[in-house]
Amino acid sequence: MTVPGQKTRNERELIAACQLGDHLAFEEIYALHSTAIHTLAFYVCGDRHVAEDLTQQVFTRAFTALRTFNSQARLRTWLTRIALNVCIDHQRKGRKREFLPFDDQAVKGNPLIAASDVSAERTEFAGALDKAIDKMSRKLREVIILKYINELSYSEIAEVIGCSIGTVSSRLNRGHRFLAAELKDFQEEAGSV
Amino acid sequence: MSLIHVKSKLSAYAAGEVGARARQKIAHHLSHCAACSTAYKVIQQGSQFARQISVRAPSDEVWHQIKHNILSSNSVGSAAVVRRRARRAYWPQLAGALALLLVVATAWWTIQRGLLRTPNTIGLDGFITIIERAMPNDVVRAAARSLKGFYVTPQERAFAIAGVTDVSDRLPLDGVSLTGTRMRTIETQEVVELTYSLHGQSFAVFVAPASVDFSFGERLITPAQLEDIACRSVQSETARTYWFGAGGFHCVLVSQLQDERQNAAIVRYFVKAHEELQ
Repeated sequence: MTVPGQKTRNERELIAACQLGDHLAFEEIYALHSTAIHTLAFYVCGDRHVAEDLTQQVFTRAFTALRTFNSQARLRTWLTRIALNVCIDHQRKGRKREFLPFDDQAVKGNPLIAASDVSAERTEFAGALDKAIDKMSRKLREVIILKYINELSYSEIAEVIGCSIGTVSSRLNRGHRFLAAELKDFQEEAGSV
Repeated sequence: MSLIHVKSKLSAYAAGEVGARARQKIAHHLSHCAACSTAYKVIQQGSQFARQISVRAPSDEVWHQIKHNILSSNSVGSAAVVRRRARRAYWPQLAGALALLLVVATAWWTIQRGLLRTPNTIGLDGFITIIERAMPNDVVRAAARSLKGFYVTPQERAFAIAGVTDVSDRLPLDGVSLTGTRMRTIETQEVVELTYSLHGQSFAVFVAPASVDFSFGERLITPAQLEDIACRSVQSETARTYWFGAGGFHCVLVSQLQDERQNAAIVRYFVKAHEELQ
């Protein structure tokens, strides 16, 4: 997606360039953040096609809304807020979250997993992890994804979902305990990263 | 620091989200409290699992669609650039010349594209183009953008207009679901548009009385045979578009489905529904 040999600009430069209509700058922003946004949409809505549709909406909205972007906030946080609003709008239209079972492509695309590790055991673990995420309540799933996929801090998560940092901490506590209980048969996997 | 207070902060402690003083206190407590130490190990395990949640990158098509969306709307930056440049120009003379050019160009383009149509005409050229480019789940929104004068209507009303109340409201295709119902009134004539989804792909059916025309811009229209059904095929790059009669009505199917049997089933359904109405 990025032009080979082109120096990566910092976030402020990219935003300033976008506000002047630089589409290449927006493409860089998309390249930097689309996977996190798409993954969030996927885990909120449970459907790959819907996630792609919602990702498209998020970035189309973001391009227009950049004129009012407050450069003191991190772009990731701002985009995540848009993404959550888009997902909520989608669910308000009565589209229930459907769980799609794990697929190999997700393992192969995971930068945390080396290609040589894409074994049957890995696939089984990844499938069990996906199921555990799906079993979680929406509130716990949300904070877990915002923390580990969108890489937001506790205060940023609190800002995005509109609650206190204490609430975020409490939900992450419960989320961690939930995963540990659901995946206790895979304790070796916990130690392998 | 109380036991409950420590336990409530264990995730934040594991993530480095507590201040230096609290971190010291918690570390000290964990070194002396077996229960909290065990609880902390559970939190760490959960955190390690969470770090392995699979990321999912969107397909390239998502970017292509975003690019299409932003290029087809006025972008923030380019609007600002145009305004700055316009201020520097000799605005009154330039504005006059541009206005005249615009009128001439529009008239030429309109005539060339055959857009001087009677009031009783539904233009589908733009709709077909958008369907060809739309993501499968974006068809309803694409329809809203492209169909002038159409508005959302309740399902029952849409089916009544489409003449499908006396037969099952389910098309004879497994997994099909209705995703949009819109209509437009032209003088006293009602035209309906039904959008469906089938396994992630979409199709739309327009039903109109014979007195309302459909126009397709410059697209070639050729006689076609869809299984045993005689109809007309409308030229399109990736969509399958069929124009067919149904009693005193005519219909247009714009479909992302590539399976001829499925498209034939849809056409047959609407033809049969109208035959039974007569």
